[in-house]
Amino acid sequence: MEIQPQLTYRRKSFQFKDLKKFDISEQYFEQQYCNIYKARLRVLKDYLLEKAKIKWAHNQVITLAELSERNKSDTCVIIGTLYKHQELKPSILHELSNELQLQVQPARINYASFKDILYLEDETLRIKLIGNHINIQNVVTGIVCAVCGHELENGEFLVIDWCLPGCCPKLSILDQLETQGKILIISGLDLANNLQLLNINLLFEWITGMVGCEKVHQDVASIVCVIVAGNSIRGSLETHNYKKYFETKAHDEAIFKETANITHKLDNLLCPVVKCCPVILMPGEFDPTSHTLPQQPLHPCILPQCSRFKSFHTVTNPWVGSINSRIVAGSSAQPITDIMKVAGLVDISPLMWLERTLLWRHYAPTAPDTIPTYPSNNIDPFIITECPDIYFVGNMDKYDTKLFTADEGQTIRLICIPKFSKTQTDCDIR
Amino acid sequence: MNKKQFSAPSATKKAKYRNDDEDDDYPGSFEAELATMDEMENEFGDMSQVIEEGPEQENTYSKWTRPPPPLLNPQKDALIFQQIDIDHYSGAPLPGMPGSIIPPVPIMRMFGVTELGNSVCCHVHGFSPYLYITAPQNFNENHCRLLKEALNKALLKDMRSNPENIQEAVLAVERVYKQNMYGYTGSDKSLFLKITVALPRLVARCKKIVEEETILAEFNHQYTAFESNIDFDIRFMVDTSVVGCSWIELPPKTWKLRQHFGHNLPLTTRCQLEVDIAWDAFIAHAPQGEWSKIAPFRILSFDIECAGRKGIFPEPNHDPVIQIANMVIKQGETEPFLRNIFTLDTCAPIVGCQVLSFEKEQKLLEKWADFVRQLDPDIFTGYNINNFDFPYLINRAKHLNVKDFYFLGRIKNIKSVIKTQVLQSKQMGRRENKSINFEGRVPFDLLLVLVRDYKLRSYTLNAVSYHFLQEQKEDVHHSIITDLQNGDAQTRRRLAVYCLKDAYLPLRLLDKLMCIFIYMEMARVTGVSMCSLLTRGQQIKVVSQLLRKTREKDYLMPVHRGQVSDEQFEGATVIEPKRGYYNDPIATLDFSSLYPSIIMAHNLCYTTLLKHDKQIKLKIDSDDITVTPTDSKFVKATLRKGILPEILENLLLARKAAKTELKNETDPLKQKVLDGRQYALKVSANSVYGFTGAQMGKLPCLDISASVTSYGRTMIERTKHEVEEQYCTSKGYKNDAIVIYGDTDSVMIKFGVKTVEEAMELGRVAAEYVSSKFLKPIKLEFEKVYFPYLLINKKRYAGLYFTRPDKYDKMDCKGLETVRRDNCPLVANMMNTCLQKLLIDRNPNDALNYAKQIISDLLCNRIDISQLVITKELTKTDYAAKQAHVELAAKMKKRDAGNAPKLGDRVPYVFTRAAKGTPAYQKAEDPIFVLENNIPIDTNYYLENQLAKPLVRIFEPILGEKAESLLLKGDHTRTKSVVTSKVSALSAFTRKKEICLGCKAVLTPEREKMAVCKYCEPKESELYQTELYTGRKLEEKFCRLWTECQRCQGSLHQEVLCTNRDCPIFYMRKKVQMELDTQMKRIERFGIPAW
Repeated sequence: MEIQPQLTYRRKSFQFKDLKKFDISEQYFEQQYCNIYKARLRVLKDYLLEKAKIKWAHNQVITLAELSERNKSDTCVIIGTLYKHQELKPSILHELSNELQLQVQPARINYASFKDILYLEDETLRIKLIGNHINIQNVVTGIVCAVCGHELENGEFLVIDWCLPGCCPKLSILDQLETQGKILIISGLDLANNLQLLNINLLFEWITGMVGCEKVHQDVASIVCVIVAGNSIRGSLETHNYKKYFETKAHDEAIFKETANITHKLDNLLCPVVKCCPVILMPGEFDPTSHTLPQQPLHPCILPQCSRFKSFHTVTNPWVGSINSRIVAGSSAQPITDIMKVAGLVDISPLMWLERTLLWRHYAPTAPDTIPTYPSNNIDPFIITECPDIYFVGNMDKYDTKLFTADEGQTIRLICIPKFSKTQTDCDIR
Repeated sequence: MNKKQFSAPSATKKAKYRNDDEDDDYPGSFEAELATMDEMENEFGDMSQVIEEGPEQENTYSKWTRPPPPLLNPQKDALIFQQIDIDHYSGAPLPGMPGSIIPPVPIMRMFGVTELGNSVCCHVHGFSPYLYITAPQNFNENHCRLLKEALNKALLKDMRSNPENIQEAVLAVERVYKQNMYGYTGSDKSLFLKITVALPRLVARCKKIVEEETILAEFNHQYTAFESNIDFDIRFMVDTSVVGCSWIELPPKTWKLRQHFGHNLPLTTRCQLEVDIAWDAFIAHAPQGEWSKIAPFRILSFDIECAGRKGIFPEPNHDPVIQIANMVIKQGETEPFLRNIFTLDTCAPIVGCQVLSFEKEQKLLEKWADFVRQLDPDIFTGYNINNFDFPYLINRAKHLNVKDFYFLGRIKNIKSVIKTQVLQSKQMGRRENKSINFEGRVPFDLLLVLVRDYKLRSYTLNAVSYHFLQEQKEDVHHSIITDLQNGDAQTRRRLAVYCLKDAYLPLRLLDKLMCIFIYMEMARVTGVSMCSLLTRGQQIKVVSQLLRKTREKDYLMPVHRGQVSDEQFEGATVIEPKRGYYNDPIATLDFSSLYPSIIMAHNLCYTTLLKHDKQIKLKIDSDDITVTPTDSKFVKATLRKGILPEILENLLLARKAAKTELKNETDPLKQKVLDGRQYALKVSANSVYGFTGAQMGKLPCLDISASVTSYGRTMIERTKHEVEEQYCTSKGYKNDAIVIYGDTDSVMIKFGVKTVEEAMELGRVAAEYVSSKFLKPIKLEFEKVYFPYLLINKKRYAGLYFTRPDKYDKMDCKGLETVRRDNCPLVANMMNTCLQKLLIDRNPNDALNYAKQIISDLLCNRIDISQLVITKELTKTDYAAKQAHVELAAKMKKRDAGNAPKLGDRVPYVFTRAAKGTPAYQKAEDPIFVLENNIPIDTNYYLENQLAKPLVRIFEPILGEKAESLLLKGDHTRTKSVVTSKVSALSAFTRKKEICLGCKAVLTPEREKMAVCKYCEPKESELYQTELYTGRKLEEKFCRLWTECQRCQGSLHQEVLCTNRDCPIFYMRKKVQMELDTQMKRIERFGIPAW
């Protein structure tokens, strides 16, 4: 307190801009999902057309409808959205009819099976894709791509080669920033199930400079902001199968009570941090905000204490913003975990999928098919329109990172943030 | 087209096919079947044909036509084909053929396909129609000539006009020795006269003249005609031993190929091979061994779409046909080899399907007819094609004056025309069916097949596809169809894809249900053509079998004049059930094929029936007579073996053989044939009893049918007696066996043992023991054990069905509200779950709680509306009694004539709350309207009129008297919630005020925009989360429902248009959308988070 008054560390300056890409002011549910797919195809098709012209200069790019007017054996290029037909996808229709049989469908870890069929679909038609060039395990529903090949007699399309939209170019390659700083990202505080608050307290005290030696303080002062990447309140939701309404109601009420307590706790915990360091709070799958992606920022009334501070920012999930001119993008977890469910059988690390989403130029291709998604009208918010410098995903099982260099030389720092409650790990990035 | 007019479902409940336990034949359904037989068999009257010169065949696409036939030389090669249709026409005699040489002569035509897939039309010459009459005494050969001349004269005179210029009406009169099959008259044959006439239609006239006029004054004899009411085609098939769908072989040198080898008769058909042969020269192969195979028939499935006007069912005189989708499959293959669609106006291409677009509707229809002719299909199929698609196309073509459209059959110059067939039956009243002639092709309408063979909740293609394939079908509302058509090539493509799906589904269903196999085998077993199986009643099948036997045995079948008599006989018996919930294994013993085996055991037949006077006259020893419990007398087999028992024996033996063969067969295609056959045999055996009881039928004999049922009754009683006598403590058994229930052919026994295994053991022993007390081949079989068993009432029970001691096979419910059509899905679902909890989980408490929960959910409005929807078809608007769906249709018409249900539509409705005393029919409301306007559901009506009775019924045996009060009155019924309607009378005078989301207090004006009142402000966060939580649940549901619909429609980029009201998602989708909007508004009242 008064012991070392001379040692004052000023926190590095913090310029923050939320790109507001995923904000929805008023929610309407009149629209259908086809609008998202249409918008996605419309935007990404342009990039693909360019790439396809370079890659397969000799082959004409046509629509599926034109396919039938051509000689079947001629090689051509078609652009469309992939759709993976999977019998194991959870179907509400089956659940409704199974209600009679009282069979509880086992929650599936993934939906993939060897019977999956891959289709390519443009605005009007779909065609079955075959051939060894596309490994069905490596792709998911919703990716827009171009395929080169020819139609077979039975109406299937033999793929010889294919092409993805590729990574988005960087708007401006910033020269070395004058201000160096660190961003600290944590995810999955899971206060509901994480009973030992010591870790969190320790972390927050460390951030606020309440613990550690001078060196630590100096170190800590270089943290320009803290990003809390989702599932702060709850990391999972026990699925309750109460058939009886009153039990369900009682259960629900208990949950509300608990959640209210926990949000209060979170408010208390975060408050001292917010006082001295900017905090960006992102909701996660189980946090009290909308269920559909993009999840909207937590409501101020939930965290009344923190909300009073200017340094407290609640944002959407997924989110893109710029912090000290660095573009930071990321999501709490859903896009990546869902991709892994759809892709299924192969063992590919989340980091790898994160990298692929960049090549697909799409944050969450499986939305809206298997991720609950808001039915936006005429836009697909998840298309990557700005190349991030830092691209993270929260709530993963373990920490993983890599510097990814795309074809056009863009470098992107990819990070998988582990769940804090399980691993007590956070990441700080320079 | 999704608004086809559905013909009223067939009158009766038929035992549902394919329960896999093949002896699921409840003779109880025989009475029902008997009722179908009462249907007036519609005779096709005179064979009026519209003859006009048909078009020549075109060759547009080589893929459409059949492969060219190999060049056959009639001198060296045999021609072998499977016939599928047989008919006849009058023509000129062919020199060198038997029969009359003076035209006109009847010529038979057999249409079929060779193994290579070439179509054949075989003209069979020289077969003449005939009838029998009784002969006066002392009638000698000389009289034959006299009678012939006299009859000839009388017949020619009888004809007012003679367009065909018949010169010789009667071809021959012969003396034959035969016996009347009706009644036992000793073994002596008596004299009959066989009169052969020139043309089939002369048979009936001849009969009339012989019976009513005096022909030969010399004899004072009342002539009686025999076998004059037999269809000529059946006559031919019987006399040449041809059965339906059998293989025909024309040996070398016996046949002539038209237009080849100097045989220059003109080609009259569109078949590839047209040949002539004498009626006694070909070989009809019995469908056994090698000859049970099935030729590669071409099956064309199609569906049409019409652009209707708003609010009116499409009429061929106004509304154009805009698309016709076609799928062609070869019998035996799994995928269609041809898919195409004919569209009016342009249509964007479809992968894997040929699109043929036309600017003019005339051209479209013309080309489609042309396509059909080139394709030369053997079987037409589709959904409701007989009563909708075909008549619509034909009438439309007529309206537009399309050249050559009508020539859809195989005969070049015969037009296909629509005839209206009226079927009259006791239960259903009059109903109309359209029939269209396609000489040589079989119209196999899947809807008719399903209505005949399956008892379903609903017969829409949606419901059927969900029932059999567990898939929902995309359904496009008819108002949208017109919009899609009026859009661009893309929207029409959208429609085309939908139309193609509708053409494909019938093929998948045919395959899944093995319809073609079953009908072909049925045709083979009963000996009639496939066409008559679909268009005619049950009778013809038995007649055909009887005739084949009487011919062999020199019997004659009398002509029965159908008359309704009030003579009723007692039906099958039921042992009064000892109602209750049995937590003990209940063994069930069944008489296998009870009625057929009674007929066989007691030698019951027309030919063995002994009239009272005859017994004395013929001096028959009473030892040789069986007196049935109804006091009818039949001679025993030692004197004469009846033909009914013989037919049945053959059928059952054949079935046994087919089943053994089925077990050893590995080829899946042959397995299907055999499975189809054994089923056909079973159905045929059971239909014999019904035939003898059908009073409006061809040959009813109450002595037989009443005896059969009375034997059945005594046997059940006897079984009960024997079992209870034998298996009791006094005979050394641990417990007294009690027969708790017995129905037509089965008895349920409680042996008092505790395990399924013991019950099975005792059941087996008891079956054998009781069987020994009965005449052969009556056999009591042990089949299954129910454990536990819930016996509710006569023909109403449920139980867990065990055939092995270790694991149950299924839950078996009979007569419960799980399949009834006139209630809402909630009832069926709830009953099912309750029964499962009772029987499988054996947890009556849980079941009771569940039922209470559902009731409480219902009263508190938590049941999804799709569960409450009742659907009825709007068949006519002027019902005598007011009906809910009719009233609603009228109401909807006032509201919006464009989207109101039309005649033939199915009207879904729910019951809404109304003032006390409002009759139920006025409470019906459109579910969509209810959803949109938040109209309260009359939950009490549902509870009292739909749920209460079935629930009390299943719970009473367990809970006793108090069941009703426990279920229907109790804490769970106290809480009710009612929504406020947006359109009620009161709502016009009220103004909505915002209330606090926490304490429901009305908010003061300055806080109106906020979510909570100032007292609730501290709890704001919690309240917000409560609202949010509800919203999240809805969001999840919304996402899952709409993505499911996207997947079902098979497109991500196109809007979901489906309005399939049979799909549970349809209403849910709508509801969740509305609820979400409301919920979002509530959440927004907390303020939009803005930074």
